[in-house]
Amino acid sequence: MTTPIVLTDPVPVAIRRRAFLPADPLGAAGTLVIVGLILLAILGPVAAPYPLQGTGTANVHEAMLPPGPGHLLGTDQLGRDVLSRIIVGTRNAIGVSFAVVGLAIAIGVPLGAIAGYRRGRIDAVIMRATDLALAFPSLLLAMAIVAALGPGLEHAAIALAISWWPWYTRLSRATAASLRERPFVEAARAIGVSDLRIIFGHIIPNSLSPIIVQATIDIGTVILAAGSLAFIGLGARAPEADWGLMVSEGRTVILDQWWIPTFPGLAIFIAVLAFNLVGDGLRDRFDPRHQR
Amino acid sequence: MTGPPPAVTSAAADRTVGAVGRVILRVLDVSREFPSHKRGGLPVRAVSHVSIDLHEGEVLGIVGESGCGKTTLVRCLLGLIPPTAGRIEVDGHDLTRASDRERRRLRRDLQVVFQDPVGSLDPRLAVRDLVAEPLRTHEGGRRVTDDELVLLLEEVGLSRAHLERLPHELSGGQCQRVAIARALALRPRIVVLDEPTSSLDVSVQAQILNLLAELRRRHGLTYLLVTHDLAVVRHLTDRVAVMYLGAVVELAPTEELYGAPRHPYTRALLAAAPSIDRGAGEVLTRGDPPGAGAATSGCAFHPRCWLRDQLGRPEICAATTPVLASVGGVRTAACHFPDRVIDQPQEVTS
Amino acid sequence: MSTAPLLAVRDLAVEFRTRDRVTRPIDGISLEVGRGEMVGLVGETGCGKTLTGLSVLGLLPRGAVIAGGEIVFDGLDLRNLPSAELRRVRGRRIAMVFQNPATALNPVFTIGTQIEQVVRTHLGLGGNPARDLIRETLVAVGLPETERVMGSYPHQLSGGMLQRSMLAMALACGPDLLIADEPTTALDVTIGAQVLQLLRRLQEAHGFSVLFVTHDLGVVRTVTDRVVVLYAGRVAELAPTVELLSHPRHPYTNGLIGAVPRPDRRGTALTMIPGTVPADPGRVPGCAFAPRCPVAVDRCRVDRPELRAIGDAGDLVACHVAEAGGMAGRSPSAVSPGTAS
Repeated sequence: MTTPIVLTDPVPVAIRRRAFLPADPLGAAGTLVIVGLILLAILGPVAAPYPLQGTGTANVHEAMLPPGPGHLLGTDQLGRDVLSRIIVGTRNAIGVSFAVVGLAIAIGVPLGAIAGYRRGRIDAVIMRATDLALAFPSLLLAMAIVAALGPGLEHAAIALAISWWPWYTRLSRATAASLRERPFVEAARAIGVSDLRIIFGHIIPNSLSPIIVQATIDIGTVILAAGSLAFIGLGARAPEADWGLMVSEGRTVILDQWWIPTFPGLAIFIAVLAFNLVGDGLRDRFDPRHQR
Repeated sequence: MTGPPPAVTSAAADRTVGAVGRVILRVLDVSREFPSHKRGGLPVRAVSHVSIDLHEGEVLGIVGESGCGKTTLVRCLLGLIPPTAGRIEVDGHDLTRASDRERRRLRRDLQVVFQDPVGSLDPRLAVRDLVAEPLRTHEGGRRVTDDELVLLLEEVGLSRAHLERLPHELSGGQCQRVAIARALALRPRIVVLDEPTSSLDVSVQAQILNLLAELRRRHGLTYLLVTHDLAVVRHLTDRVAVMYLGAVVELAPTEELYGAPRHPYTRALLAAAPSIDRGAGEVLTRGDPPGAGAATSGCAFHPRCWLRDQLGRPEICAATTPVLASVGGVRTAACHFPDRVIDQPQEVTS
Repeated sequence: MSTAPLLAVRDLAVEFRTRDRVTRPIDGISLEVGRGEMVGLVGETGCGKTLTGLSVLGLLPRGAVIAGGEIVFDGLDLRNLPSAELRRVRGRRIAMVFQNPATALNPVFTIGTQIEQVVRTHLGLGGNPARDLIRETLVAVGLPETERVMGSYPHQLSGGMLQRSMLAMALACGPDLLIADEPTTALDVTIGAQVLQLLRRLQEAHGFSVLFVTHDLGVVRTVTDRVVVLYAGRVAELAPTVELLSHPRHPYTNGLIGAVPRPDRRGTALTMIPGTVPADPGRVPGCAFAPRCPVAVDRCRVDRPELRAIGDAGDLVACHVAEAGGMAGRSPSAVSPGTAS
């Protein structure tokens, strides 16, 4: 999995408050979708027309119905309403992706900031560790972790977080290295502020804009990655509602009951697209030309 | 927003000729080298054997052009980079060899105002946090009240309303006032001013200079003013040190230096500055200064020196490095022919 | 000037149009540059001096448009010139040098290549004739090591040499008008003095006119014949340099001169102009300077003053108070005429 590194000049987050104005219609549409997804994730099964089917209860006598009244997106091989399954699956998708990205940021950003600010030996040690982590094939790592801990969504999430943090370390280090030359950092040093306070009080807060842009796009990528892991059996297990798992479960019947894998796949597509559009919009908003 | 009312400082009384008062900052034979960029090249000498005594209550100016080392010297003074040789003493305490804790204590007495007013403030912090930061750093654990912050702001001509503002909502002059408030928060005795008005408009510069003069009077501060602007130096300082290629080439009370320089570079510098009274005087220099720290034998200025040409290129200029020696009274200059500097020069066409 | 001016700007207005709003950074600027004259354009941040220079060349940044007035260069109406013709004028008859030579020159081409591009475009010269011309020009700007300079990239040359290179590039095609935007601000004092001396010499030798944009009154005193003082997108005062500096009539000019530290006033407070420049000058009724003016009267806040001739020295001022006789007595901050430079 490759993550495009987005390097933008850090910009005060105060400007961010205006970042979602409809100057960017695609970004605005993406934002609406994301808000909708988050709502669904919070509401969970309650929002689904058939909550029990959504969470996995079989309904065999209605199996493999095509889309129609009563089941807007049809039912799957066990008669479960596809729409409900997708809605319930939103919680997994959003939850896992936010958790993975959140964990990657929590680990990667401080490490990178320390490396970029302190330079010298600490920098070398951290960056070599990062290089090692990056060189490790993530799929292999995921398989190893699942083999060790057993299958399941949470373990897949851990595997993903472990493969993801190095990107944030790199990004954060580059930003920290450029920020450390800025006058306000020198001014803080001249006042006598300790290194740790400078890193967490000045460097990291001012590094947020490229990290936010990267994180937004990454959420989409993680959804995709989690889906892929589930597809090959390394993530969520039946009867959990998970978009990737649903695509996997439906792949054998794609020609006849096309709706079973297609709609979950579409859900993945729309979610990833929304996050990408918002990320692009944020990147444009944070562009240096918006700086005074 | 207005600045403090224009105060007419008592011209003669405040302007001490020469230096009185005890020495509160000593720069003792400080040098700072940087490794060369080229492979196997000689290290670059940004600061070369600089010794300066700063007396309590005075305003000492350090002038020079780019590459003269004044910025590096400031960073050594502030403890941001260590000198490669020499010592810096604040009130008798050795700053260069101090422990971290000692250095932090010494920092309370030695604060700084930087050149870029907007850039020297963290863009994400409001004025309140910016001015409180030095207090929180050095008096950690205690609460900093808004009231005491407002007192500081009012001293620099701002008000309570500014507490909430972010740097990008303030003008350059206002940002510099915030920076000055920050510098004064710990009630230091010495304030290093690194090009404090160079990026400000003329009218704003006037406000800030007046403010600095007033604050000095009020609090008995000692200033070290580092700048390239000769008019500002003449206006504000008691003594001036002129730097060229890392070394101090002349040190004298301000009016004496401007009236009768004793180093050919000083003369060239003063002549080149375009003044509103008479425009720029003669152009005495030729070509560009060599890169910072370029090694030359003898006097660092001799390749560009108009006086050397005029005297028929005496050999001593290229052979022997002149030392900073007394040229009368408290003045010092590093030149083999200081008395000839006031000769009528022949103008150089560049 | 008995002959028609080389450049005449009349009532120029420039607007900045963004999605949210429209501002008017230039709101009625008129000035003239005669043949062989060096005219200074002085003001502080936001007065519109750089924009004025860019307007003449049609190089306004995105979002800015000329909203009114006219720009006439040697009989040509620059505003309404078709873009192909404007391109022929730009660089060939009107040239520009910028403040920061390091960023104004292309870092990936050598100096020689860049000047050759200009010479080829405007004079149709190439190969040896072009290189000969470039060598001549480089020598004329004080860069006798022509081969070295022509083969160098911008990052290999010092600030002073870069500025001279930029001058060479501007002057290679023999323009009639040079617009110099703060050319010495980013240079060291001694180097800047050399560049100013060079500029004066070249101007006297070749007879081109210069519009010199700066914020530095000392530089104005050094090289300009006449000065235009801008405030908030409008002309405050326009006069021969020495006359303006010794007898300023506009309160803003007076304040500006008084704010400059000068040796004869050591120890005294500098003149301060309270307040700040208005954010959108176009919206200010009456005189733009009135809110900050020490001698403003009621009329100043309502009635925008016109630029009118006062006295017989060719001094133009836009100020009601100045028209009515001005500040009592000689203004305290004026400079003595001293020796002519």
